[in-house]
Amino acid sequence: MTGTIDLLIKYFQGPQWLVLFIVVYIYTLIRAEKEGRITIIAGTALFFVCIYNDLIYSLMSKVVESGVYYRFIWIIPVTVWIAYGLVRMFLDLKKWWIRLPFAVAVLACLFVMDHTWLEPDRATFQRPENINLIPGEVMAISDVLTDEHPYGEKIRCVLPLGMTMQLRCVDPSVECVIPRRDYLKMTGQSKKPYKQKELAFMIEKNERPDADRLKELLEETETDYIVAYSDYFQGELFSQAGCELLKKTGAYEVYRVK
Amino acid sequence: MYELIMTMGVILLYMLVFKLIGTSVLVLLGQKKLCIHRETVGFFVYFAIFQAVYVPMVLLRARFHLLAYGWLLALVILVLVCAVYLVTSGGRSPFFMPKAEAGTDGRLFVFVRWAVPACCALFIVFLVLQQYLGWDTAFYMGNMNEAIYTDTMYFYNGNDGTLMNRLDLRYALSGFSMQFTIPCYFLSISPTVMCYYGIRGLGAILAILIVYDFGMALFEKNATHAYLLTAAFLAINLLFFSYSSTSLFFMRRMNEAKGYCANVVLPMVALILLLIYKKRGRHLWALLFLICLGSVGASMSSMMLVPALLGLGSVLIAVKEHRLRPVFYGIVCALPNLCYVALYILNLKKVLVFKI
Repeated sequence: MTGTIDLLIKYFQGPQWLVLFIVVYIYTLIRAEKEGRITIIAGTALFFVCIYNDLIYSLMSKVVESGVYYRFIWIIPVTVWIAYGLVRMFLDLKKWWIRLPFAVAVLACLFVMDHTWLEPDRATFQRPENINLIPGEVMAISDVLTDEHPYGEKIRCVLPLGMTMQLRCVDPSVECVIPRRDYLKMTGQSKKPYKQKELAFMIEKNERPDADRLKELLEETETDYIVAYSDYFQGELFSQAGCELLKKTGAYEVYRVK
Repeated sequence: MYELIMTMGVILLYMLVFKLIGTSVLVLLGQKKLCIHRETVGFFVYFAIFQAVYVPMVLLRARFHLLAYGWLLALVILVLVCAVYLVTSGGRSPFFMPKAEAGTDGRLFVFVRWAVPACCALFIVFLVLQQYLGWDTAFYMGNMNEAIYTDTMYFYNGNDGTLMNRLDLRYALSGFSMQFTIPCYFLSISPTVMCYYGIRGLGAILAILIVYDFGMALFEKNATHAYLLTAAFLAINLLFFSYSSTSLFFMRRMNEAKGYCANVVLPMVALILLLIYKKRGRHLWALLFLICLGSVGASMSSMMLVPALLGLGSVLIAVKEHRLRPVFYGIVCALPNLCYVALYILNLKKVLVFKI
C-alpha cells in the first residue's frame, strides 16, 4: 500500500489534520443513527476496495498520467466533513461558556500544530504590483515587444524559463523559441544536442557559445527577440552576434535580432 | 479599473443567469421547495448547454469569434425561454431559495446571518488577490489570450505559443477556458484579470453556496447551523494547506478548472447524492444527471472523478434502499462523462485525431 499511503500522508501533511479527521470520523459514527453508521463504515470500506489501493494507483499511473491520482482524494469531502464534525461538537455543548473555550481551543490547536505558516506556497496577504497580478518588470517587457510589431503578428523570442510563463500570460504574440519541454530536457532526460537546448543552456545557465555559432542558432531558429538575465552580462556576445539592445529592466535585458 | 468593474459586472451577470436557469430547471423537475441554491444548479445546466454548442465547434476547428457570437445568440434565446417559462408556470415566485427555519439558536442567528456573509466577502477578496502563477494557470491564461489574439481554439500551446499539429483533447474537450474568454472578447477585459478576479471570485462564491447547502441538508434546514458550517469550512480552508488538498486549490488555484472540480463539481455531486440518500426521488436523479452533463464543461478532471463518486454513492444508496435501481440510475448519470472518457482515450491512442 506504499503509493496510496504515501499520498495520503502527503495530503494530510503533518499529524494535526489526520488526527482531527479521525476524531471527527469517530464522533460522526457515534452520533449517527444505525443506518447512517452502516453507510459510513460501508462507504469507507468501498473507498478503500475500489479506489484507495495500490492496484488502482498503479493502473491510473500507467493509463493516464502519474500525477493524476491525487485528485481521487478530493472525492472524500475532507474539509466539509471536518467542519461538520466540529460544528456538531460545538452545538452538542449546550452551555455557551463551554462552547466559546471549545472554539478557541480548536482554532489555537490548529494554528500551533501547523508548521507551514511561513512557507512560500501559503496563501498570504500581498500588495499586488498591478491589476494583472503579474510583476511590473514583465509588463514593461511586454510593452516593449508590443510596440515592436503590428497586432496579429507572431514574434519568436528566446526567453528564460520563468519569463516564458509570465510573459505569455499578458502577451499572446510571443512564440517561445525554447518551449517548456526543451527546458525540462535540460535536466538530463535527453543527451541529444539540438539548437533549442544550446540556446536554453545559454539563457538559463550562462553557458555561452561563440558569436558565430550564436548567430547561426538564431538564424536557424528564426529568432526575433532575446530576453536575457542582466546578471549574466551577455550584452557583448549578443552584439557580436548582431543583436541590438532595446531595453534594460531591473533583472532583464531585451534584444532585437537584426 | 474599467476591467475590474466589468469583471465584477460579469460575475453578477453570470450569477443572475445561473439563478434564472437553475430556477427554471428546479420548477421543471417539480423541486421548487428543494433547499438548494438555484445558482449552483444553474451553473451546471449552463455548462451542459454550452458544451453542446462548444464541443462540435472545437472539433470542427471553428474560429473563436463564431463560438462567441453563436453562444451569445444561444444565451439570449436560453434566457428568454427560461423567463417566459417561469412567468407562465405561475404560482408563488420560486426564484429564491425556500425560507429556512432559524432553528432554536435565535440570538446566534442574528449574529451569524451578518457576520458569516461579511467573513465570506472578506475571504473572497483575500482569495482573488493571491498572486499565484504556476504552469497550469499560465496555460489557461495563454489559451484564453491566444483565442482572442489568433481567433482560434487550442491551435496553439497555451504555455509557449507554438502551433500544435493536432487538437489536444485533454484540454480542448472542456469549454471552461473558452466560456470565460467570451466576456473578455466582447468587453475587452484582459484574460489575466478575468482569471484572477472573475473565475476565482465566481468559483469561490459557488463553492461557499454549496457548503451552505450542505449545512442545510445535514442540519435539517437550520440556517444558523448552516452558517456555522460555512464559517468553519472557511477557517479550515485557510489552515489546511497541504499537498494537493482541495483547500490549496480553493485558496490559490481557483482560476483553474481543477480548482472548480475539487471545490464545486465534486461537492455538488456529493450534495445531491446526500439529498437522494436522505429523500428518495427520481427527480433528484434527473437533477444529478444534468449536473453530470455539465461537469466536464466545468473541468476535464470530472470526466473520471464524477463517475467514481457516482459509482460509490449509488452503491451505498442501493444498500440503504435494498434495491438495485439506484445503481442503474448511477450508471445513467455517469454516461455523459464516460462518453468523454471514450473520446479522450480514442484520441490518446491516436484512433481519433483532429489535425490542425
